[in-house]
Amino acid sequence: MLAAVGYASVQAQVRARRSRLLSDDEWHRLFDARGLDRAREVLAGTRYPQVASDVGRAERTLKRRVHRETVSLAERVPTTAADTLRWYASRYDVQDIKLLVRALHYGRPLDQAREDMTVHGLDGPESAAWTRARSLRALLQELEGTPYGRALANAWERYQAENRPFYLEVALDLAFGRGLVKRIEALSGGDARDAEWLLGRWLARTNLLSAVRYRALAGIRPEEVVNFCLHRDFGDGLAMVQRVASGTSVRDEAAALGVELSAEGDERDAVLELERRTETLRRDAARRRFARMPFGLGLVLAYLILLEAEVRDLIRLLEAKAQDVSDDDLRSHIPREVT
Amino acid sequence: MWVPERLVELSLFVSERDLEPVTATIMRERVLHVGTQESERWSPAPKWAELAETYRELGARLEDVREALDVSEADLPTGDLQPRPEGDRPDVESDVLRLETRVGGWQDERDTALGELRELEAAERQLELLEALDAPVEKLRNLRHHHLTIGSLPAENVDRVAAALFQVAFVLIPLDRSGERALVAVATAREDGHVLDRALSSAFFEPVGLPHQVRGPPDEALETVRSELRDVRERIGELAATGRELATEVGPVLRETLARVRLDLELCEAMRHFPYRDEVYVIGGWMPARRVDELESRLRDVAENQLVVETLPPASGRPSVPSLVRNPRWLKPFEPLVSTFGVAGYDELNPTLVATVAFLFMYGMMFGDLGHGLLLALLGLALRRVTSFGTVVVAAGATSMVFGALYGVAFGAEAFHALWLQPLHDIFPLLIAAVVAGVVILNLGFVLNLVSAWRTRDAARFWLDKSGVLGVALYWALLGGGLAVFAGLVPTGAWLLAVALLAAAMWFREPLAERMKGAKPNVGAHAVTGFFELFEAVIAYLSNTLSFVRLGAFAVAHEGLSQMVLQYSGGQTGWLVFLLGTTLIVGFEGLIVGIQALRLSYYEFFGRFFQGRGIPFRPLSFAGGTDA
Repeated sequence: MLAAVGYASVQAQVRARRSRLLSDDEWHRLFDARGLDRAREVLAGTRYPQVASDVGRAERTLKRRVHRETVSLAERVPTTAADTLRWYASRYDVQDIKLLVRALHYGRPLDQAREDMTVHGLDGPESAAWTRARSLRALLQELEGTPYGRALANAWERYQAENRPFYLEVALDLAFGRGLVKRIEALSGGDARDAEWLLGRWLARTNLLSAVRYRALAGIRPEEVVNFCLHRDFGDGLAMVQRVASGTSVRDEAAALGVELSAEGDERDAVLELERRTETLRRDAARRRFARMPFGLGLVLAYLILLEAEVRDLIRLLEAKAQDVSDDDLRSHIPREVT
Repeated sequence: MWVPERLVELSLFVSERDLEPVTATIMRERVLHVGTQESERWSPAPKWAELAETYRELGARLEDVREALDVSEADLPTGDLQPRPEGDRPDVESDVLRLETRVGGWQDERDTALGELRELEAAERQLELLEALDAPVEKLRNLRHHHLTIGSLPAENVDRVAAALFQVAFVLIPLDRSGERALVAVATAREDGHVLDRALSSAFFEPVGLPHQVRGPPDEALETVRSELRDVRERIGELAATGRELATEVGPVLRETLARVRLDLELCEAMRHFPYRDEVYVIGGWMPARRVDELESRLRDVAENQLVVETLPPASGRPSVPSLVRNPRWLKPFEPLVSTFGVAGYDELNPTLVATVAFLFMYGMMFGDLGHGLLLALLGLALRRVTSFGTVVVAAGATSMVFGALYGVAFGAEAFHALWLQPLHDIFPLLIAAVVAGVVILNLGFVLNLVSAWRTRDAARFWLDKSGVLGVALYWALLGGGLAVFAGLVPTGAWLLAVALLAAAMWFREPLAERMKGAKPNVGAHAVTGFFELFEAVIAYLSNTLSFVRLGAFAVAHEGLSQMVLQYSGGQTGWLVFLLGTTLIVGFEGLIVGIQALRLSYYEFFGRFFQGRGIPFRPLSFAGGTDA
């Protein structure tokens, strides 16, 4: 009851925002657009005129929108749920820090890295703190005291010993995943069920993907695979990671998480299929959530997942249009049921 | 107030020598929303990006000094400073160097002492754990059959290491788990040592061997370490006192230099995007038309060379024109009613006033009660101390009181003769009144759409939109015509013919719109989608209108609920029931009514005329500045 009161005002906003996602008709016209210029014209008549006028920065603009909406919705939900949403939004911080880490490590122009950053670009007010870092050590100092700063500090010695930014990136991913698990576990009642359904299952599938990629694609040793993956993930967690590290089949593990993969192809094909199915299943779960109880964190998460899917598809579509990718190829990479 | 402020597209051609003062003036005036104006022949000069990098680095170095000395960064002296990034650079670099030199020796000494302290404290912790051991510590360094390692790792990784070693036999002894990092001793058979090392290093383990000079029995070594610790702590105390003296000495220069660096950096960040060619920069963007002359005069005051100012009215329908919406002060608290939905586009009407009136009307009608309205207004007055949203609550409370008077209801009781309708006695007339209110609000939406289309000279939208002339005609043919037939004023056949003609026009409105724009329509392609759109439009007219029934239904439910609370408020604990019930009604039901009013605004009303796809006007400015 009290939780419902807490979500009362946000649900009208979420429903209004959902009604402003691109319609099937708009998607239809975007798919049918011949070339990038025509796609831009179509886009100019939608809720994304800014993207149409500056396609070069489309990815950043779109991701910023997702981040901004996540944070603004977090301000309108009860405290524990808000904490979960803010942490979920911090995956963009992780992406930005990784960009900076790579630029600093490989000596790439920092200006370019900052231009590519989603949240903490130059014109973001909060950017000043850590975008001014001109060395990895300085970045560590700027982030000191933050969860991601701690993650980097933990991995610092290993990074220095082997001079590979991979360890810093793994530490950031793990910090995000573990933080999200902690926050989902702190929720209760319907919010906990919603978060486990919409975030927890996604986390379990991405954890499986990480374990398989480390073992099969990167050739990392079992004890390291276990350390580089989440041990709690709302699936089989540690047991799954240990099985994958020991060489079990990705298809069996995916089936245990409710994703039946085709038996054809090698492990690399299975990983690609699992990536695609993970996106589709998550979006379907979000759509279904709108048909249930109107109050609760689930409605907010469902909207954000749909928005995220829209943004991801739009970025792919613009890239594909810019490169004259064929219709069939485009549709195979954008899992939307638009005919 | 009714439309976003008229803007002009401004292009300033500025000599390279005047760029800094001109940009600084624009930033101080806060009137220009910068737009991208790059072309093949004009591109940003890289020197400002490089200078920004330099100032960012200088700022970071100053921050290091400021943090080391614990000097406050609040209220930096920015008032009289004129940013001149190119000219300031030599002075700023020399100031930073001087500050670093003055503070550097002290800082190095303090950092060394702190490093020693950390090392000795770690050694003390380890020796405390080994104190009971009756063997020299150097023997632990050379074991023959086992691979033993002692060190620290993130506390949360202790269990992860144990899980990662699932393929070998091992012993893991946590020695200290009190901090963020845990001290552990781990051992395995010598042949599995490489597995253990990999598992540990991937859990970000750092081996901490005892300093080599630590030898002999642990208790003796511990005494030596503790004596060294006392010396180091004393030295750190003396260094802290020196630091305070240094802060007093260099604080004013440090704060002024930091303020200058920040302003110069902000200016560089703005200038690095301006296109450049042959010693001329072009600053382009949008600004309020009424302030062009004033800005031009100020810029000419600071520019020493030729300055060319060009203004153009923004091309109609261009999506990238920002919109600067100015509402009167009293209306500002209500802006979120619209901004939550979207920002008015440059060519759109600003619906804040209409949305406010509609919202408050709907709220009052659903929550009509003199007593509850008064409580809501008082709650709003209290809220105004912390948030401007309180004003919305006060207004909602006031309209609830007005409707309470019309309903003759206070705290659920039929306290006096109703001036209009009494919800529980006049249920059917109230529901009819609610639908009539809905018809009025919907038609207001139609009118606003027509005005909006007229302003933007969008003929297709004006005539053929679902909320345009054709849509209004079909709506009234269905509603008004239906009522007229029901009343026997119009023959059924004539009504059906009129509806059929309008429906056919609606069916083919897309091809008609294309023809109106001069394009050749593909009628066949639109026939199927047009039919479904017609179907959807008719359903929407009906459902949108009926949706307003809730205005009356909530009024009835409100009074019913309130009377139930009154009924159970007798007896000794009656005041408690009344208090809790009233709190629930004002708090919970008040909130739900607000959501319903918002929902009706967003779905049934806004959708008729407002797209909310505008770009908010964000003037170029220094951080912390205020609107001129």
